[in-house]
Amino acid sequence: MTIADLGTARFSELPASQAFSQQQGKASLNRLPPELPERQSLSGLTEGFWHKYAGRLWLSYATDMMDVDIIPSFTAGIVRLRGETTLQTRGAVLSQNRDLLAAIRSRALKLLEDSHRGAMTIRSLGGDYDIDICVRPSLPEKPPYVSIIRAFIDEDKLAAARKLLATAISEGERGMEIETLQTVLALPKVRPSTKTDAKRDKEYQWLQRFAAAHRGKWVAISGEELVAEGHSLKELRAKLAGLALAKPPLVHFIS
Amino acid sequence: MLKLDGADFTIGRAKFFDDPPGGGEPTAKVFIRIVLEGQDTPIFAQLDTGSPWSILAREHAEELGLLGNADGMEKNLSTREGMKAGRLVKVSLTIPADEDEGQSLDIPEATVFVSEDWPVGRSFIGYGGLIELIRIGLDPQENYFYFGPNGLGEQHPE
Repeated sequence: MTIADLGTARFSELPASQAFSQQQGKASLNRLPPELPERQSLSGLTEGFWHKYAGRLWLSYATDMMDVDIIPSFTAGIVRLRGETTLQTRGAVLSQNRDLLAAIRSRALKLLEDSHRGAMTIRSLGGDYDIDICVRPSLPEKPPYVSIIRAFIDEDKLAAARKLLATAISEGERGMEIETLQTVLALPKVRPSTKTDAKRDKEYQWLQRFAAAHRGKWVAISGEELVAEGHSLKELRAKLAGLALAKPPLVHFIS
Repeated sequence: MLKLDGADFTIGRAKFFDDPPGGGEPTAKVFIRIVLEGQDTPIFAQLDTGSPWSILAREHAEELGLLGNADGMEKNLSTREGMKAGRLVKVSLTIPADEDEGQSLDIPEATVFVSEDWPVGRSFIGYGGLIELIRIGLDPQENYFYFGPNGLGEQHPE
């Protein structure tokens, strides 16, 4: 357990609350720093987990838990939501602990500022005690979308690649590489067509009977007839160009 | 054509070939016919739902000018022939219905893998970007391949 001095408060890093509960059970309260005059919890998950151990007053990071990154140096729960860190405090009990809140807020913001080297804004959500503190990084901290999407494609994870591409575009990613990925991952525009092919039963019969004698050749078959063959497709095409055929032949390489 | 809950499930069908043409395959496979853009001669492509991408035979890719340029995106594809370096490119193709057997299916701008290093004459219809956008059904008794749009891709009725 690591404890960072926060002035009039202390900042404790704790393991995942569920693990903490399983390992410590009811005795877990005794493992929290006993010298804390008030216990606050900072949780990147929900408001409830640590609060049950920490007491009445809590400080939590509000997030929908989607697309969040846990900042390693603050494993107790500072979370980053797409580059924006939100520290939310709430609860009427804060009215009884304004000094403490101020101290915590001040120190936490300093930590966040140092961590992100970004600008900070503080806004009130209404009332005196509900305050959102947002630290916005001055530089964009977007994931390397293109390289991740390319990695997904290399691993043939098309659904993941498409999903991340949509996210990247929604977050303003642009450029030639994004356009290329859009093109490659685009879904084909399927449409019916009335142009059909001839029935090919006779061509299939020819293949079954005679293919073995033409291994290594490109063949063009029409009905039961071999109309041309060649050692390469180019040679076959050249031969076909000189023929007047009633219907396009089936072209195939016999391996 | 095939119906599901009274509505069309597929729009056309064509006889597929399951006797490996030329003996290149040791076991029966489903070879369907496709027609590439700008051409009128059908060719075989092996239906392979386990393949993440469709693959176009090198010679056909060359005919269409899809090799040796910077179009598309570089891609290394793991295949049973080993790792193949190539590109993902766009190509339009048709899955033709047999005469009097319904409508064909045009698939403009399908994404396919092409490689200079690919074995001669072997094309595949894979799941990603192609099979995933169509409905298919097989009748192994009659060797019919049924197909139709599944509504996921943007459709443009003629």
